[in-house]
Amino acid sequence: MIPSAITLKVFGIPMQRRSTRRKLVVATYIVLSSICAAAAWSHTIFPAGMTYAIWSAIAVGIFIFGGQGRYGLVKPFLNKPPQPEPPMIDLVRLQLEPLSVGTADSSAWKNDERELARRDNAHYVAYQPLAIGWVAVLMLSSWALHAPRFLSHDAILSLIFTIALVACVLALTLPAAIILWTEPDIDVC
Amino acid sequence: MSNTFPGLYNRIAVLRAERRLSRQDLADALEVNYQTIGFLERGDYNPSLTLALAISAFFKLPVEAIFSMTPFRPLSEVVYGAEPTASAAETPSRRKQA
Repeated sequence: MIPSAITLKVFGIPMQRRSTRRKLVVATYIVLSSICAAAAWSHTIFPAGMTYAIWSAIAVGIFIFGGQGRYGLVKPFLNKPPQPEPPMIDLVRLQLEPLSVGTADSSAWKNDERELARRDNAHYVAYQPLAIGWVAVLMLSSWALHAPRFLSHDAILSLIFTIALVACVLALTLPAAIILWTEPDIDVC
Repeated sequence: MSNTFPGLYNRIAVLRAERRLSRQDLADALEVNYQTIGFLERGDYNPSLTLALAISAFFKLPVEAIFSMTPFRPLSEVVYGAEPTASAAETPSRRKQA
């Protein structure tokens, strides 16, 4: 699942060892949790904080964990080579959109049957707790219409906001994180 | 969910060593990731029928010569009739491959 074609370094640190990858996953989630906590704490006075949290999760998914394009540690989940980067030529200045004509080496990006099994398993494992989160959001939403005595309306809305935000961040990052967490050390062939 | 159930043994590591192939060579020939070859050799992953047949075709051997539901007998035993020692019979590596 973790390709040799893509660089196995993040911030210059080699990621062949599973223990290193696990440290990266933990460190990344600490940062994302801090951003989510800040967004949840300040959402009444600074609603754009949620946007920062979501963009952070997207950036982590694209550039660190991978699975969504040419960058990151995990091969693209789509199981096809990413679109080659268009050439940087003067056509850009003319507001034209040059399409790249070269095709990427598809074999380096293709997942084999074991990797596809790992991908599917990682999504299955990731979406079990996420489903619980969405059920919680749905139930709290019904309470938001008729708030019970023991919870204020504002508290319910804050809970909905926080759970939905965390669920979105996890949906964007958790499958790739599970693959990075579980894939054993990459041996040198 | 894991595509692994106990009791499938293979001789991929032996056959690869015999032919002096690296994992990358075999992986390129089978169009899989070289890590998958390691998983197969360690018995951590059981191949699909398609991959098993591809491996069989690559080594030009019948599938049952490469994969077995029972542990393979060591080549020394098969070729020379040597009795396996008690300690060798219980080593975990023997369970995975002959």
